[in-house]
Amino acid sequence: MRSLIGAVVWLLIGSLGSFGFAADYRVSGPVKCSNPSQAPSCGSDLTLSEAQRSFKNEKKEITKCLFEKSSKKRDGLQLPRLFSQDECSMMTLAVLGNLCDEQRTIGGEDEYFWAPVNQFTDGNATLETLLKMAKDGQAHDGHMVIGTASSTDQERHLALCAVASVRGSSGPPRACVTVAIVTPNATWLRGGYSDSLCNAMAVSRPTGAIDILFEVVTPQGADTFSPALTRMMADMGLAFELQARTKDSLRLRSVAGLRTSTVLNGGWKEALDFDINLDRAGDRIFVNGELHVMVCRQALGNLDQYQGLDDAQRSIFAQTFDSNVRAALKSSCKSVIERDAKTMTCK
Amino acid sequence: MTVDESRTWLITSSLVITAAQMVFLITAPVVGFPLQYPKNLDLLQIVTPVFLGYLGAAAHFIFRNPVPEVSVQNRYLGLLVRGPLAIYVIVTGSALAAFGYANRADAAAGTGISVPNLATILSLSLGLLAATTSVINSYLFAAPLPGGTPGPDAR
Repeated sequence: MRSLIGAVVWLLIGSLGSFGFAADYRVSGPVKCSNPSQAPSCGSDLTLSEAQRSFKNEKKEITKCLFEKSSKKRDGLQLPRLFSQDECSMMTLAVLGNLCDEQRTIGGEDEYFWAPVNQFTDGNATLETLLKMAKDGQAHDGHMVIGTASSTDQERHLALCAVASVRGSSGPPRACVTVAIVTPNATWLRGGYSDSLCNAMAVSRPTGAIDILFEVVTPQGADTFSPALTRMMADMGLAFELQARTKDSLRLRSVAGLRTSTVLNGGWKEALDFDINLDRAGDRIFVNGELHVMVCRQALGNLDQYQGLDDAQRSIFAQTFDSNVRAALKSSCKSVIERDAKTMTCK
Repeated sequence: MTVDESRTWLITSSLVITAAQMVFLITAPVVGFPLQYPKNLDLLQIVTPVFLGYLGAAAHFIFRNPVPEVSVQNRYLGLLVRGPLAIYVIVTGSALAAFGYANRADAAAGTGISVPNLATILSLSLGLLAATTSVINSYLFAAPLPGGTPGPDAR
């Protein structure tokens, strides 16, 4: 209980005790755009009040977690900084990189949230690095930090952008996302939850089956994607069948009998089936692929001598089918914006 | 072939076969032979103990002084010492070669040999050694029977 009270006191002190940093930046660009194609830097921005609201919501969760923890451990729990990697969660800073490549300011797969800089154990050190990057305006590991065009002297937004560099020359900042808000009174940083396992588009079931998942935000019908998907299946040597219920609800079934694997090298034999369901829900089409594979290194003729995939093989199959399905979906669009590993906007 | 030459032959061949089998089966998966870990080790578990047994008996034998006399019909000794080992080497070699070829990278599914089938072939060829070489080995290296090894004229 004492730790719970301490946590609340710490939160109050922490909120009040945030202090400002000088946020000079060399490069600036629009981040919040009405039209995403307005500039390459267009991405995701948020307001200070949204950040504060996010902190308030997060506090509730953390306090609840600490309460549960303190009720379990009655004996002298040392009060940690709330947004450190403690037993309550795997919360982490998400300032110098996007967790699982997710370009958002709040929420999402990694549950991005905002908090004052001193709520993070390494908040000040990370902020210092961020400010240095903003000041030099150079690319670091494919990223650069810019100030958003909407920043004012009283409220500066620093955004993390992707950037391509060739022989020391950097391209324009792309797909920027605000990761810090610097005001004279407080500096707010983006945090997130990282368990180092990104919720990728491929999910493995306990039975060994692999689910390939995509969400395509598009006004087009699901049938737009079927030619590319069937072509992909044919290219992979799969015998396929298309079952169209409506233009927004399709099922593609495909199968390959015993054969030399086209995915695994070294003479592996495989038998697989791969079904894809496309169904519209609201503004998006859910693409659910289901892959079952049996493999054997010997050229045997009975399936009972074949085995499921090991973890490494499953990863290779997931990667291959994911990239093939992704390429097929993208090839059906005139322009594509990949929001994350799973979601894409298709026009 | 004399008794001593038989002992030398058994020791040498056991050493060579043990080394060859171990090196081959351990390195097979990394050189593209169609056998993966740990199935190669499963096969090693089958074929190695027999030869290790021969070498163990020989290791005991070298500390036995004086060397116990062994009565044997030399006329058949060479054939029964060399023959089974030669058959074992040929059968095992052909089985591994057939396994590798039948399961080569571009082999059609359904034409290969399974690992359990290979294990059966290896067990059969080891059976030949159990029936012949192991018996000879026990006479040549193991402790003499009480009262000495029975001579050819013993009743």
